[in-house]
Amino acid sequence: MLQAALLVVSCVLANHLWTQDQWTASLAVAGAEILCIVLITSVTIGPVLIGCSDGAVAKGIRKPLLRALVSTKPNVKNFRQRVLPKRCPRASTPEGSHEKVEIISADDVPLIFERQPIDWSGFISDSLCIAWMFDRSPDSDEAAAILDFTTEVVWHSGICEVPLANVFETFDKCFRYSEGNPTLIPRLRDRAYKAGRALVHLGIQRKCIGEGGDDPLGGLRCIRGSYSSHSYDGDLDSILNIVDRLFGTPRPIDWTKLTFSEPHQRWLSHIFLYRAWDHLCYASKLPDDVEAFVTYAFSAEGTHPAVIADCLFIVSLVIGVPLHVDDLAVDDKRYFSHKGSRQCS
Amino acid sequence: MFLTVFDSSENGVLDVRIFSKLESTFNNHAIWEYARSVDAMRLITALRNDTVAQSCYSLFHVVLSSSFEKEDMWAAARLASHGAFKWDRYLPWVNDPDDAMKFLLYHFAIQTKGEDDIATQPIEDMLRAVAYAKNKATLEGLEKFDHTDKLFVGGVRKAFEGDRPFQTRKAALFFVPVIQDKWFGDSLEEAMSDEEKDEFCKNWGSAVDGIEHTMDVKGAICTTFFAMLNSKKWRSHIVKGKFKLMEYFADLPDDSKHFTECKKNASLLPWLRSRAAEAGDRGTEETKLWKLWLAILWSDYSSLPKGVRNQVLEVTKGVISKARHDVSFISRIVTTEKERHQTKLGGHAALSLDDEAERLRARVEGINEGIEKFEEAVGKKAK
Repeated sequence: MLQAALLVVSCVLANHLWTQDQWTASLAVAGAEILCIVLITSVTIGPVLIGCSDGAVAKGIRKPLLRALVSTKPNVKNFRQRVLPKRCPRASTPEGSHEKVEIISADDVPLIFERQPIDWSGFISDSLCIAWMFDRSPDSDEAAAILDFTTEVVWHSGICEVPLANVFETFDKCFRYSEGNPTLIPRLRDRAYKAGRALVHLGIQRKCIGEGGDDPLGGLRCIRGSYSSHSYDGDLDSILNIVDRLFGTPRPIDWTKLTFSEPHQRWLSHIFLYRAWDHLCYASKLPDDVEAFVTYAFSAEGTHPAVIADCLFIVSLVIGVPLHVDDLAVDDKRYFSHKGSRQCS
Repeated sequence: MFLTVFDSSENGVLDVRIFSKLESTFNNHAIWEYARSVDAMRLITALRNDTVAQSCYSLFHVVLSSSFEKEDMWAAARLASHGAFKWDRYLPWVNDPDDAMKFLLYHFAIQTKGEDDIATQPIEDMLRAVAYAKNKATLEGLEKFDHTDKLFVGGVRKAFEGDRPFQTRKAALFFVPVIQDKWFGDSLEEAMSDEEKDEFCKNWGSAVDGIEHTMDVKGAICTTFFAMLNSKKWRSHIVKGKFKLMEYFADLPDDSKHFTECKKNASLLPWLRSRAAEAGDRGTEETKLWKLWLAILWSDYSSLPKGVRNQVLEVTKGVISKARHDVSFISRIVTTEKERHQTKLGGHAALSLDDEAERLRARVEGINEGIEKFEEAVGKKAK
């Protein structure tokens, strides 16, 4: 209000001066214009720069701004061409020789899911946004929001800023090492879940479609023993099990003895789709945990259609039915509780 | 920002792609694709879904007609049959039972060779298929099959044994009515000795005890019971406590083949009576049962052959001379039967010309005739 009042006073003063001395009046008008620009800028990006308490406003403004800033990065356009040929499973031919067969392709394969094409460049903007937010030492609420946002991004090879270290640090801090194996600090359950989920998401996607080599978690492998929660929490236990597998300390898991929340099961099936893709590039068999999960999901009563879809994709990969890369990469926001409903994400 | 839409029909698109790829592997003898096709089948056959069950049944026929090595073919067929018949809520019709019986026989054979671990589940799946998903085409196709083949008989007997899974024994209970026309005649003599018949009847009785007697179950076990009872060579092997299954006669359709033949069988009433006499004072249950059979015959008196009618009249006179209260027991059974048919008739319009309504009217008339004759027989004796 004060800034607006000053602006009005400046305009009246400039008008008065114009009748007295045009040069002095020009200076006053220029001052008013600068004031006007400062006012508009502070209203627009204030929440971004100051860390506005109104999360919705901040999110609504921050994301498009950052996206606009990075949308011109040159490496985005060629994403598909650079990523796809990198990973193709081999299939033996009748003559016994080996020939590359593309099971994931962007060309000549019909899309299964009806939608507009995936905004691959948007994921780069999102990654920069996430990296920037991590750099600001977020409080616990902000960290939770960032971790959730992390699992909505497809971390493809066009993305350079991968917050694996930040996410691992957040995850690892939720455990105490005093009893040998890292054991969950009970009050940090929610943070451990979100951070673990983000870690698995990043680790598997970067291994599968990223450019961080074949072992993106290699630099973080300093843990001792297996993560445990000492609880009957299917969502968290499944994540801890996968984290252990990613770090090379696998434990057997009986999926039939775990119960999952629906959102978690949907996320899990989708990340297993990436894991299946990654493994089928180098071996003819699925990893045991993915195979067991698919069998469990198919056998259980009332499994969500989204989970069934991901498992069918996994079966398609096993048998070598070619898939469109957009069908594989589409995130789990494609599914809604009401069949056939539409929603913006 | 992008718009997405999900619909379950998209899963259907995936199913179709997967199954067409699998069928092409077996149709084109693509040996190099076999391993991953079987891996994929192992996964997708676990899915409980109508389309998948139907597609698995089609794939089952494709696999059996393929030219893969026998062992590979049977391994794939096992997965396909499990995918088709594992789910109670949807079972594809067995329109072509030749493949099903070929599959069943093969697994009975490997079971006898000691490969029980491999054979148990496929046998269960195929027994379920023929027992629960049979139609006219299935029954016509089965006519050509030799149900008295020793291997087949041995396999079915084994399915009733106490160590078999519940679902296998249940499916076997429903499977026997499909084949019993040939089983409980004279043609099985070479394939099953008397000791084996004893064992079969004992295991059959144990399977009957191990299952809840719903309407469907009552119908299936009662059909088999009357088929055994009608056969001179089988009735003596029925386990003692299982004659009580006669009580379920009302759950059978009126035109049930073996039940109707039992009623026309002149040897049955004297056999049941002599069985009760042998039991003597201890034979309360046997006595009750042959009187129940007498009542059942009275309720269908008008359609009995002359020889049986005479038996019924003669035996009834003998009964009431010893125990007058048996009159009310027989009378109550016959009246209940009449009321049951009248209730069914009540579901039709009063002047309905439907075949079923006509049949029910004729049945009620027949029972009335039986009641009149019964009262006449009892009344004369009373005077």
